[in-house]
This record gives sequence, structure tokens and C-alpha cells, in this order.
Amino acid sequence: MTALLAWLTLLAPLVASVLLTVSSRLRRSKLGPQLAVASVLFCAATSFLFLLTPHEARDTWAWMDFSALGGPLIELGVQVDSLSKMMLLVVGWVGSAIFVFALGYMKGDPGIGRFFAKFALFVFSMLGIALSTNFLMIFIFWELVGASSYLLIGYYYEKPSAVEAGKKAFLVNRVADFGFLLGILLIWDYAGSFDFAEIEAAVRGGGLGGVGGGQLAFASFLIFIGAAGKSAQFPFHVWLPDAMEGPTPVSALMHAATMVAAGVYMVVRVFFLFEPLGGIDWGWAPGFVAVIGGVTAVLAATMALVQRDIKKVLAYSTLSQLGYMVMALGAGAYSIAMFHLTTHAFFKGLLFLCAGSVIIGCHHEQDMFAMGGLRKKMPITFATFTVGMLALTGICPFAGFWSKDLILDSLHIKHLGVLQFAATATAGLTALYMGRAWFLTFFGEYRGHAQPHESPKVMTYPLIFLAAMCVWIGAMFGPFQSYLGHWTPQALGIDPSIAIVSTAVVLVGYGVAWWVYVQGGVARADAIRKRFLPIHKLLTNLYYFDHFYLWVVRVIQQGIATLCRLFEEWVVVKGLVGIPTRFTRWVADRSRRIQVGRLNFYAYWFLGGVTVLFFILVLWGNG
Amino acid sequence: MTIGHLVTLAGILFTIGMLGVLSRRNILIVLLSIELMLNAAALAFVAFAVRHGNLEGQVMVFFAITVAAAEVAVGLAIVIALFRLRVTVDTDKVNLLKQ
Repeated sequence: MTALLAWLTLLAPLVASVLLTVSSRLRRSKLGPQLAVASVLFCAATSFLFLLTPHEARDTWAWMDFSALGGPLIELGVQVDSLSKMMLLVVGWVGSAIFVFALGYMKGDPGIGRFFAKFALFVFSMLGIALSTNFLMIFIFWELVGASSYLLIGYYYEKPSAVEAGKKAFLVNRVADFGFLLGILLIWDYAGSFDFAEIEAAVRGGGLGGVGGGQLAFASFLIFIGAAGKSAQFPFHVWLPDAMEGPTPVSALMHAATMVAAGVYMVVRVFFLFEPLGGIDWGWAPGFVAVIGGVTAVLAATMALVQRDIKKVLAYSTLSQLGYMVMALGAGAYSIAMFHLTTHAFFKGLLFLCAGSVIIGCHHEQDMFAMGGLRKKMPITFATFTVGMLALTGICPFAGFWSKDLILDSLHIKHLGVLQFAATATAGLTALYMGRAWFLTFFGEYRGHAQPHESPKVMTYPLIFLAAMCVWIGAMFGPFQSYLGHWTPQALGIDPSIAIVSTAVVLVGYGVAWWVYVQGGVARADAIRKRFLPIHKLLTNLYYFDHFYLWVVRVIQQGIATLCRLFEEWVVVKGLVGIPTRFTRWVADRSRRIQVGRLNFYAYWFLGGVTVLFFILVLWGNG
Repeated sequence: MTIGHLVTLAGILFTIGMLGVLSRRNILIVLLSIELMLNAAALAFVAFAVRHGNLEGQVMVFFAITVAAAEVAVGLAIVIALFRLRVTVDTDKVNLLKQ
């Protein structure tokens, strides 16, 4: 029963997406988008049902069986356990809020049917990742997420920058996915299976034959590369800010419930590959993961400080928060990473939807310096944004406080002092850039030229729902940890001293933001920018990562491509193809002379040939 | 009448047909000669079938006759098409491919 429901949950958005895509009647009618919304609401309902019932289920369907040839058995399956239930909850609930919001946001857009078809496909891919039972299936849905994100980021296909951003996201993800695929194949080679449960049994039971810890750590490292690509970790982070080119609901879904959560979720799902286990020396893999997370968190937070676009601020904030989750993964606190993923999904989804509401209210203005004073004009958006911001910066009792402090605590327990310091500093930076966005958008005088107005109810109700969830879900950290007991290495609690320090740092961050943007106004911000011009330049150029990648493509890749072209021109075309061509022509020129064009002549040749064959048969035939 | 007589007759018929194919330029005669060769071969089959006392040769003749009928139908159709196109049945005049 549970398994059947899980299959239905998985397929509902796909059905909606396919119907919307193939039926032009649906696409144009009002019913179409609502069909997609209904399918996601169905997911939300089933995920809630799963959460209420203790049943766990696992159902696999043998898709292709190559075991007779010594190959793998390829299965598709669904797995309902506490981890996937959690992920379904995030996808279903946050997804539903975003879908309802999108009904209002995309209203009147000529491509609304196309939009919702792809949107539902996106949710389907993410549900596939959440429910999958084996590496191959997760890889298929992994690629589906990549493909549908490409379609959605490039939704405004008349806009060259949107098309470019879609391509960039897809290509960066492809690079990382290549590592992921290699990792999957290595694991298959070692454990002889794609199935998570079988691999776990093999790893824990020592059923890996002579495979050493170093080899396994390398395979885990490759798999982590895949996760780093989807979760936009350093050095694959460059695609995420550009992905803001898509419509705002897409950004919200991508940053909250789907896509970027996929990487973290996948690592939690196969956490046994990242655990130091008895007898096997795991070396550098877990520490490496934590360091990558820390670097991403700090870099992204500093980049967020100088953004003018409200969505870009939130995008870098997502990067930074993903860095937190990856730090928790590196520290072995898998359930904490999952908890932060859940809380982050709610408050980041909320913040993005608020940004969308602001953008619609200001008539598609995204520059924060052309906003201001929206507190009075958009009271609901202001209130919910404030809740989301407090949750993100980790002010008690909002959701982010609990998950962030648990991460700090896990780093503390593992004696990762430098990372703990980095994470605390990032909390301060988070408060600084969020405070900046908050003050610039909602306080002071309005600096734009449009007539800002509050959004319709179909957009504000999802905001209120998510804001309520932000308050409620934070208090659930205790039940949450016991719920994900399998993934909880040691019981973590809120350490008061850590909590006080981080809260103090956050308040300092808010204070600085207030001092600069409210007390000093834009003039003081300008003075500070002039004072630290080189640093500002470094930050606005995003540490020159994009320049570096472009240089790699232009110089190194182009150089290799030129070499390949010369090889093809001279060796392949002129040599391997050219020489046989000329030989064939030479033979043909000589042999065409026997083609005289007289039937009798050909008959003579034919007769001669038959005679020769006859004699050959008689002389050498049966002897 | 021995097997020798029959095979000799088949050989004579085959040679006549072959010479016809080689020497004549009228495409109808060429086709007739090919038919003659086919029938010579069929005669040889029958002769050997009688000699060995089995039916395989006879069966083969039935197939040969069937195929020959189909072949003649196609061949004559080509000749008619050719005549309509070039107003000739002379094989030497049909040399477009060479030019």
C-alpha cells in the first residue's frame, strides 16, 4: 500500500507534465496550470500521510536484467523510509506553496502552460531522486533535474542572458555529473551492485574483497563531486547565481526544495560511503568535504555583500547555506545536514517568494537601490520577509537558529575549530547582507519610478504559510533527530555558549547593516565602497572565477581543439581518408576501360568467367 | 535412349542458346536464347533424375520453369519499355550508360 502510494506520488507530476506538454488545449486553458498545482498538492498530501504513519516500504521493479551476461541488474524502485519521507515533505510542501504562488506570479504570461509543464517535470525529477533505491536510478533523475533546470532557467528564451545561464548551469552540472558517473561505476566495480542497501551491506560487512580504504575514499570523492555540482559547492558554484535568470518561482523551487538539495540529500542517502569505518583507513575524504563546505560558505557570503539584485543576494545566500550543510556532512552530522536542508527549504523558499512579490509589486524591478520604503506599501510581504530573514540569520526561536547552532555544535564536537570560526563568521556576514537587503528594500524612501502595490492573495497566502512553517519547524529539532536516528551519529544539543556567541555575531552584523544603510544612508555605503575599492572590485567580479573558467575555455580548451583540428585535417582527412580515395580512383581509371558498352562483349566476359569457375570446380572441387 | 543421348541433346541446346546470346544483337533473340539455355539445363536435370531414380531433379525443373516464366515476363516488359523509349531492339544502340 505504502509502495503503491509512493509510485503514485512519483508519477503524478509526470502525468501532469506530459498532459500539459502534449495537449495544446490544456496548455491554453486555465485548467492546465491548475492540473500541475493539483499534482504537487497530491504529493504534499501523500508526504504528510507518510510522515504520520510509521510504515516503511521498498518496492523495486527489474527494468533491465543483464545478469545473464555478467552485467548488472538495472532496477527502478521506490523507497519510503524516514529520510525519503523527510525529503518528500520538503518537496511536497515547499513545492506546493511555490506552485500556488506561481499561479499568481505567472498570470498572463503567454507561456504559462509550458512553464507549468516544465515545473511539474522538475518536481517529478526531484521526487525520483528522493525515492530512488539505487545509484543508477538516482543518476537518471539527477540528469532529469539538470535537464529540467536547463529548460526552466532558459524559460525566457528571447533573452540571450537567460539562454546563456541555462547553458551554463547545464554544462557546469555535466562536468560534475561526469565525476558522479565515474564514482558510481567504481562503486559498482567494488561492491557489484547499484543498490544502496546492498552497497551498505557490502561496505559494512567487509564484502568488498581486496578493495582498500584509499580506493573506496576515491570513489566516494568522485560521488561527492556529483553532489558538489548539484549543490553548487566551490568550485562548481558559478552556475547558481546565473540561474536567477529564470522566473522567480523557478529560483525559489531550485534553491529551496529541489536541485541544490539533491546533492546534500544524496550524500546523506549514501552516508556510509563517507563514514570512517572500523578497519578501513578513510584518510582525507570527510575532512575534504567539510573544508569544501566551509570555503563555499565564506566565499558566497562575501560575494552576497556587494550584489544589487535582490534575487542575487538570495542566490549567494543559498550557496552559503549549502556550505553549512556540506560542513555538517563533513563533520559526520548527517541528520543535522538534513535538518538544515529542511529548515533552509522553508525559509529560503519564503524569501525567494517574497522577493518575487517585491519584484512584481515594483513592476519587474530587481535592483534594490531602486526600491526602498516598501514596508508600508507591501505590509504582508514585509512581515513574511522579516520572518524569513530572522530564520535565515538564526535568531531564536526561528528555524535557522536551531539548525545552524546544531551545525556549529557538530563542528565543535569534531574539533574543527577553523571551520567553526568560519561558520560563525559566515553567520555574521549573513546578517550583514540580509540586513542590507532588508533595509534597502523596505526602509527609507522609495527610490524607483513605479507604483508599488501589495500582491494578490494567491501570492500572499503561500508566504504566510511558509512563514508559519519557519517558526514551527525549528522547534522540531528534537523529534527530528530521533526520527532520523539511523543518520544520527551522536546526540547533539544546543550548546548555550555557542548559541550566545553566534547570536552576538549575528546582532553585530545587523548593527553594521543598520549603521551603514539606515543611519548613514546610501552616501555612507558609497564612501565605504570607495575606501575599499580593490576589495569591492574583487567581490563584484566574484573572485574572478568566471574569468578564470572563461580563460580555461578560451586558452586551454581552444588550444587542444586547434591541435585536434590540425590532426583531423592533415592526418585523418589528407592521410587516412585521402590516400585510399586516391588509390580507388587510380584503380577505377584503369578498370573502366573494360566497360565498352556492348552487350555481347559482356556476355563473352560472363561466359569466360563461368568457364574458369567450372574448371576450378572440376579440378579442385571433389578431387 | 540412354542418359548419354539426353545429356548430349541438352548440351547441344545449351550451346545453341549460348551462341545466340553471344552473337545476336536483337534483344528478343537474346532473350529466346537465354530461355533455350534454361530449358537445356532443365532437360539435363530430368535426365539425371531418371538416371538416379529420384525426384529431386524433377522438382528442380518445376522451379526452373516457374522462375523462367517470371523472368520472361520481366524481360519482355523491359524490352517493351526499351522499345517505347529508344524505338530499337538492337543491343548495340542501348549504350547510354557508356556515354
